[in-house]
Amino acid sequence: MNFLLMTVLVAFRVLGRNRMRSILTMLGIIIGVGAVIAMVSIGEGAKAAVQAQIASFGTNVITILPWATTTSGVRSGHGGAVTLIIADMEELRKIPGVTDVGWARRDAMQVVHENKNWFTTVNGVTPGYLVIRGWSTVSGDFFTQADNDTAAKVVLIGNTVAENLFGPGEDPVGATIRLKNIPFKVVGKLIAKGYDTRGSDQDDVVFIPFSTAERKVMGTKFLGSIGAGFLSAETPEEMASIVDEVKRVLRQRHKLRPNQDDDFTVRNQLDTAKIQEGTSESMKLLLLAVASISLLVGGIGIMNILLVSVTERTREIGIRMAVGAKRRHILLQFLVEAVVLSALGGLIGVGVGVAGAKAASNIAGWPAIISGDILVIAFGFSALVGVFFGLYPANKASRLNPIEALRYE
Amino acid sequence: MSLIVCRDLVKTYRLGEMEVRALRGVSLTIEAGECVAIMGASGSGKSTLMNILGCLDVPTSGTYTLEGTDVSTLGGSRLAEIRNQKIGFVFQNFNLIPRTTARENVQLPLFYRGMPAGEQRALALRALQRVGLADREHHHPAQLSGGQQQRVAIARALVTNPAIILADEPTGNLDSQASREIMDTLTQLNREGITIILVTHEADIARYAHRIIMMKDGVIQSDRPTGDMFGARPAPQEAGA
Repeated sequence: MNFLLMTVLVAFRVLGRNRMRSILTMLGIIIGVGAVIAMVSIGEGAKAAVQAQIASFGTNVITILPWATTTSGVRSGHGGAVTLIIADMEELRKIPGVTDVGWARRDAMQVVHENKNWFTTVNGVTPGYLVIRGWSTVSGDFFTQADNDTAAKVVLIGNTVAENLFGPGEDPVGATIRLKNIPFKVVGKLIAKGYDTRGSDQDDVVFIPFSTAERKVMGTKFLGSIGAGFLSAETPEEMASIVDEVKRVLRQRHKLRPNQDDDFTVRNQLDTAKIQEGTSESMKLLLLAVASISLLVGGIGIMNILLVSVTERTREIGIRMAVGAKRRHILLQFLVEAVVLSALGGLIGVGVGVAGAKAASNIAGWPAIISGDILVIAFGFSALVGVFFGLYPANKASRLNPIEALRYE
Repeated sequence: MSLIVCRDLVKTYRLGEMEVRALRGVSLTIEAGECVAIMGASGSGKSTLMNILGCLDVPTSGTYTLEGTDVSTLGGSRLAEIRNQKIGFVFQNFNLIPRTTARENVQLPLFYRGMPAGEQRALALRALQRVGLADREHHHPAQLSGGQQQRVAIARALVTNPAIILADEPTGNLDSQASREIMDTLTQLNREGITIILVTHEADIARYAHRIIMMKDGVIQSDRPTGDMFGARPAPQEAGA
């Protein structure tokens, strides 16, 4: 222990003598460790942001779209035959594990309040939809099933719409806005959800009861046809089996023969989440690979400078051997120098990485999550790099012949 | 029991195709407390003999017994221990570690013994005192004169209280004044009981020894008391007076 401690002290002094060289040698490790930490922190931050976006869509949501999106051959897309109706959704409500059912149809139109107007998406939805999508209000309240049944002219407005139609600090609840010149009473203002995974503003929206939309605002070719259906599952584990059941029920109701493709599309929120997570996971792996390469290059730098050092200090090694240093003493001495270089570089790299991640989140606005784990792992890895790349030069030093080493000029 | 007993030492080097026989059967005995000079021209095998006596190398054949231990067959690690405990080296070019203080240079053999730092420091200071350099403890080799550097090297050699000090051309890089001082230091140590083996080609230096072994072509040509070779030996301390 005493010996090791003194060897570490000697290593610090030796490295201190060639300060510039030591710093340059450490630079590879500093950059490597710094890059690992900055990359992983930013990656984690991005992942968390994506998860938050996915969660803002609601929890355990299954979406049913009334058109096929099969990849085999060309499909007509939406706007074709009516394939999804309210009765379908009522049937799906009976599937075990389904907690809520809702549906919606939408249209883009002008909304007007006094002298202000705004072009937005108007959604006709059932109260179930609002629950499934996890909406809540900051003032006022949702419209009710009764509002839907009676096709009441009430509206919930999203944050972006509220900002554009009302003055700052003005509570829109109780005000009257016009859609297609029809007056609607504002019953609630929704919380802000921000942007969704595809980058569109989820708050640039107003909601009116589905039947109001169907009968008074948008019109319909076929009563009871819906733009999209939504189900929420009780638990994430049930989602896959519910999706299968939805498909079975809809195929049966739509009287599709076994060789016919689905005339609807069922989307499982979990799948979207997995794809997103997979993307950020592979991104993270890629960044880690790049960072690992720079650590590798840093390690080679250490090996290189140690080989130079062994040559320069051949005579010193000879002297040490003559006065009684054993092979393992010499091995340890150079190994400790390598580890001191790499661990010190790692330590500085941790600082640089944390500062880099903080700077990225402050300047570029990328969210960064710095976890203690990655700091410890990156630092430990840098020390390992020292051991690994120090072994060869240290071994070379320890195998010198003392007689030749003493004579070395 | 004699301190050093060598029997038929043979050392053969391979230089590519050529086989060089550096030692061709050397037998010698050195008693504790002697001061012996090994002389000879370059290529005579005196350096090879010194390397073997210093446990830096092992003979190809023959035996070397040091304080009753046969060291001619030991491995590198055991040889390092023997060097650490029984042998002190003094080299022609001093061989101090640069940019390291005199005291730390002297401490080096103790460091490899795993001695506690405080004890190392105390012993190193005492050794520096013995060579008259106690006030230079914090100087680096570059800040010392040649003679002072060599005295630091002697302090390093004697700090472990070794059985032998092996001095290889100890005055080869020094002027005559410094040479005389170094030889006085060594003979003083010899009088205090340390066995000293000098390797030199200078007759003036060999004169300080009690006994001179002449090497030629890998064998001992002659081995006799100094007086026989140079006439009455002027005791160095008297010569200086």
